Amino acid sequence: MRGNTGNNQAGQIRRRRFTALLIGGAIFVIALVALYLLRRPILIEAARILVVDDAPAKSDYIIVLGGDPNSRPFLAADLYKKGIAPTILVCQGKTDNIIEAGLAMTEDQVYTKSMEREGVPSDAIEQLPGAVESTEDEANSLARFLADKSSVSLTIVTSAEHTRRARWVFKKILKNHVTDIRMAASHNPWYNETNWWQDDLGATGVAHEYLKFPFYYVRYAW
Amino acid sequence: MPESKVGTASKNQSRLRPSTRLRSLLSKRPVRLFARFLIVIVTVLLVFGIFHNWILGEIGSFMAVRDAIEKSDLILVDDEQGHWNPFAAANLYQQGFAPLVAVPRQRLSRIEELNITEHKEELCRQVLQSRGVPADKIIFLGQDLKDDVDLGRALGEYAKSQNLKSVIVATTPAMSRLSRSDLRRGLGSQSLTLRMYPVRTRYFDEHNWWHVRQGWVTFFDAYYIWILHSLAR
Repeated sequence: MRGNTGNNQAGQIRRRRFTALLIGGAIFVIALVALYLLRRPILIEAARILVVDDAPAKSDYIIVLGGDPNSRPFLAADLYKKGIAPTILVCQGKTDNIIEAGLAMTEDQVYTKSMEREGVPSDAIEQLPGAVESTEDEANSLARFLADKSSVSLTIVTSAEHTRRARWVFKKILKNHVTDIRMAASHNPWYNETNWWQDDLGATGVAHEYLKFPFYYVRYAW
Repeated sequence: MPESKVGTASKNQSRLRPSTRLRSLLSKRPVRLFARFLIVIVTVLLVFGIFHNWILGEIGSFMAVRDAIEKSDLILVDDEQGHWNPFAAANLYQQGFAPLVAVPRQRLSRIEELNITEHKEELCRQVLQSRGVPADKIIFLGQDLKDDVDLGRALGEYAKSQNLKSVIVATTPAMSRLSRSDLRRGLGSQSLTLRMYPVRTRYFDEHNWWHVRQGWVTFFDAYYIWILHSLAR
């Protein structure tokens, strides 16, 4: 008798587990189908979250960040011509063997040449000291440049998907020097927020931001 | 229960041996589950800590397809990622591995269109010539190529017209698996032997990529794009 009751209880538990598994599986499949059907708006929103594009306003400096010579220097030149700031700051890029062989320019040289071509006078472009490899390096380089200044206003030009993290890093590192930071989002000619996943550059650009943001957050949160 | 007996019982409990206390603790299901979880995490961390060089090396080696290099009909400079590949292609040419070097004509970036920088293929040609490859041994493949799938199509057309059988592809360690799969996709059913030759950069290769920041970015990109191309394109 006791054995039968035990068997019934075990059977009930098994049935309950099976039902729970079935419901869980169905929810999972429905979620997958919904994700697939809504993939386009989800992907667009995933990129839009990363973008901070402030209205242009007068600043002391425009700083154009390294990484995309096809869009960033052109937007910086455009803002300069609109009278946003009297000086554009450029960070010093790293080198490689083609550059060392004298066959190619460093990224800052490309930036400078692009902006000059767009009508920015060479004496309005200033290079920050020290080669940089990351957003953090760029902010530190600017902090050294602004060491004896305070209450500076800044317009930061960078790729759209990089704006949110760049603003966060610059605010943290330059908190003693800069009072106003405005972001200017430049767009690569090959992709934007509505099609970034179809281009390798766009796909990696957005993925990098989602990986780097938590890393920078942990590093600079305190 | 009389007060004195309660006191004795609690004294007995506090006098329980540590092993008995541990057993009674582990008899609770959530504690058991948490202990198991901890053991798994610690074991995984230990294994990774002891074998991390081997594990990371294998992760890198999977992406770096390194074929035996034999005499071929053409050396293809797949230069989307690395500036080092034309140098290695020139070395291979000098060693007599193939009579021709092919340079892809990729889509022009804005700064190339505005002639602010040299076109990539022109830069590649200059490196090849500076390293002793004669101008008439350098050919250009395709036009406005977006990626390696496009390059595979252009290579296929050229190989068909010239009856080529094998090609050495000078690429980067991180991108060689991706390059091979994209080139094959572009080649379609055409039978052309691709011999992948990943070129070590000055900073890292598949055996030490985790020592430099750029190595992490490059190998992450390689896996990510490889999965993206395999699933979605």
